[in-house]
Amino acid sequence: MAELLLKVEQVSVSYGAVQALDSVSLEVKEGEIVALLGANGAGKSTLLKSVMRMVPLKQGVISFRGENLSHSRTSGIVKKGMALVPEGRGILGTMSVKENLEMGAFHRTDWESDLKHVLELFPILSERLHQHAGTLSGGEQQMLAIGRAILSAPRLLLLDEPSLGLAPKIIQNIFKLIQKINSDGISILLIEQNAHMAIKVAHRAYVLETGHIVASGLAHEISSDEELKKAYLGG
Amino acid sequence: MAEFIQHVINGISLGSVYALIAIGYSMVYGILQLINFAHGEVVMLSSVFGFYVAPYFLAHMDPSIGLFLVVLTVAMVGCGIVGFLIERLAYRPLRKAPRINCLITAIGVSLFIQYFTQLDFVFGAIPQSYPELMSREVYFTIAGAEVSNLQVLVLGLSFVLMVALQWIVYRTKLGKAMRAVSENTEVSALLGIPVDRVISFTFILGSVLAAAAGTLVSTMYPKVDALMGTLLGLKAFVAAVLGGIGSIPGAVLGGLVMGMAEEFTVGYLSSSFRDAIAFAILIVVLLVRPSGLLGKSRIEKV
Repeated sequence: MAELLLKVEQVSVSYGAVQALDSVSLEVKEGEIVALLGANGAGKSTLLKSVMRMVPLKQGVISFRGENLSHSRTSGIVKKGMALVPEGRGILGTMSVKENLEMGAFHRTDWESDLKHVLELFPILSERLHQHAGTLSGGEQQMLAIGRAILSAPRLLLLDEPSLGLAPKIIQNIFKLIQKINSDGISILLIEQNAHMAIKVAHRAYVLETGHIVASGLAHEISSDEELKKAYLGG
Repeated sequence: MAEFIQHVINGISLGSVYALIAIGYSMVYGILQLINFAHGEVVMLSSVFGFYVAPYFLAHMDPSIGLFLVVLTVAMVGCGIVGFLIERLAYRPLRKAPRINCLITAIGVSLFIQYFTQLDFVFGAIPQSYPELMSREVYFTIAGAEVSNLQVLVLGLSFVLMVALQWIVYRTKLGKAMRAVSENTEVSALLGIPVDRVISFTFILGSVLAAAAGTLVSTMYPKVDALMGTLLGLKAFVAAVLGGIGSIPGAVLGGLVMGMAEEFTVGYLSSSFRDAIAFAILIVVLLVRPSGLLGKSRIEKV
């Protein structure tokens, strides 16, 4: 059986009076691509942020490879093997592409060979290595953000809206790369508004609606469910 | 002409001292958006440390550049520790607090250090004379203007320290992490950068530069006073704002402009305007170019 990587148990988060997540549970196992679908404001980003301990939990337990993360800090979680590519990509625009990648590998000393691997995966980055990261196009920035996260040597990669603001052709490319990364042995938890694409690459999916999980199952089950299809996949 | 050149030379050496202090304000602001008002007190403590340790070394050494460097090293280590402790004890517990709380705390830390130093069993309220680490002599003359060995020392040391800082910030991993944290703290944490450790490092670095500034000031104007940090700190703060707070090259430029402005005011106007000029500059900068000479105006996200 594949190892259980991430386990989210009955997690609730609120921003003041607004309940963003209400008793949400989910799991990601070794080797999986899991999609987290839902409309704007459903709480998807909040869930990823709470996993990385960027927002405080009101209730519930999050564990990674069996270890409770409630006393971990964000940077410590990265060391344990989980990395988040945030919405909007979070590129350090005043630093060079190379420096961005180097920062991704901050806690490691033996990352040079992985750098080569990342540059093979994203050849465009090797052409831009000494350029300021802020000068890259949106698609290139997304590749940099993903490449940078891979350099932290994660077991599980969390992706928040990797297709946001990108041209359709580039989106296809990004999703192909996500599958490639997964086949290299990195598990993926993916948030997408572009549910069509997400469900195509995912093994399993959860549907989040105003802070609740309203459906979960194998990707093809979700995509063949007529009601969900209408609500989230645009008919 | 000789007088003009003399003012330029004096201005540059005074300005380098302001620059060394201003860098500390700017680095901390870049990372925490906090004006660390206790920074001037670190400069003062550097002179206090020198005041206490210099006699021990003077018993074995004659005043010389060697003695200066020994005392400087002690002051740097002492101030590095003080800077680390200020952040660890006063600011870190407030990491998630509103910015105004941190600002008030900074003022509190500054006053605490000032008055603690004035206690009789610490240093006392009466200014003391700083031991002579190097005897002042004319090193050379250009066009009738005299350059003293101390001025050469100020320029040389400031230059070496700034080059070293540049190297740290652009070539070392921790320095790059400082830039990452100052650009985006949240993303830096997501990359696995230990943000708190980087912040500690920034305070240590700033305090070490402040220690150099304090030792240089007391060597040039041999006096130690528990309140000397206030005005020096404020002027360096103005220099940091003038250069564009958050920018290291800006802090250096701002420091040099401030030193020059002060020296010319004393030379051609009146020495009673010596301190007023700094605040006149502050008012003009805030009116005309609030982001400073080299600063970028930040767009606050809402």
